[in-house]
Amino acid sequence: MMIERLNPGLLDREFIGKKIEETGARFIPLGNGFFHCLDDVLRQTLLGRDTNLGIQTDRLSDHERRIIERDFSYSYHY
Amino acid sequence: MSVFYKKQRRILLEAFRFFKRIIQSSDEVWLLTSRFDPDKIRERFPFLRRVIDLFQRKVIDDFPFLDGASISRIERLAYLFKQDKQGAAVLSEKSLNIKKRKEQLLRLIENFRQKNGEDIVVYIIGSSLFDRRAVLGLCQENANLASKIVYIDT
Repeated sequence: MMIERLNPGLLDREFIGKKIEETGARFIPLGNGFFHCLDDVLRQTLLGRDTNLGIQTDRLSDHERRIIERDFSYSYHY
Repeated sequence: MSVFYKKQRRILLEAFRFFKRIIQSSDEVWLLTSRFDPDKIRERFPFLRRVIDLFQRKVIDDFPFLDGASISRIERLAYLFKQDKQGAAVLSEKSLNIKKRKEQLLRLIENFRQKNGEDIVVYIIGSSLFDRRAVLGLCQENANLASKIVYIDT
């Protein structure tokens, strides 16, 4: 745990991630690499809209939510 | 992202699945890589041709090289998933400079926005400090774009 806290890469990710979110963009940090988190990413973004995983709309940005509401008449999964 | 194992003999299944899913879910995909293209090195710097030829069979498939054949292979795979010859491109001149990388991203996004209007969402997948800072600069300097950007940090 202490080693993780001292890892400059992770500190930079946390620091820059906050700054990215302050601009209004969305920041999704993945711990174990993208391949292992593919389903999570699909559930949290519009990239998963054609899958049967179900999108967690509460995680989407306002802009993504507007698009999904308007274009896809999506049934929400909370 | 590496879809193929070293020496291009076997496909890494997790990477293949990821690649396929992202290509199928997106209207357009750009794969930006900062690896060197040996074909371009030969063309621009003829005096290095012999050195490149010398290493061609040994290290050319591994980092930091990605040759024209590898790029074509990745694009063909993408076309297969998209069922057409549009919407996927490998750009092998990703800058190592944060400011230039930000400008490359901005150009791609602006082109895409001109074709598709305002209702776009841009998913940027990056892993390095350079990608992260380029995206930060992009969002800070383009407030109208920031809400449309989702940065996935691996």
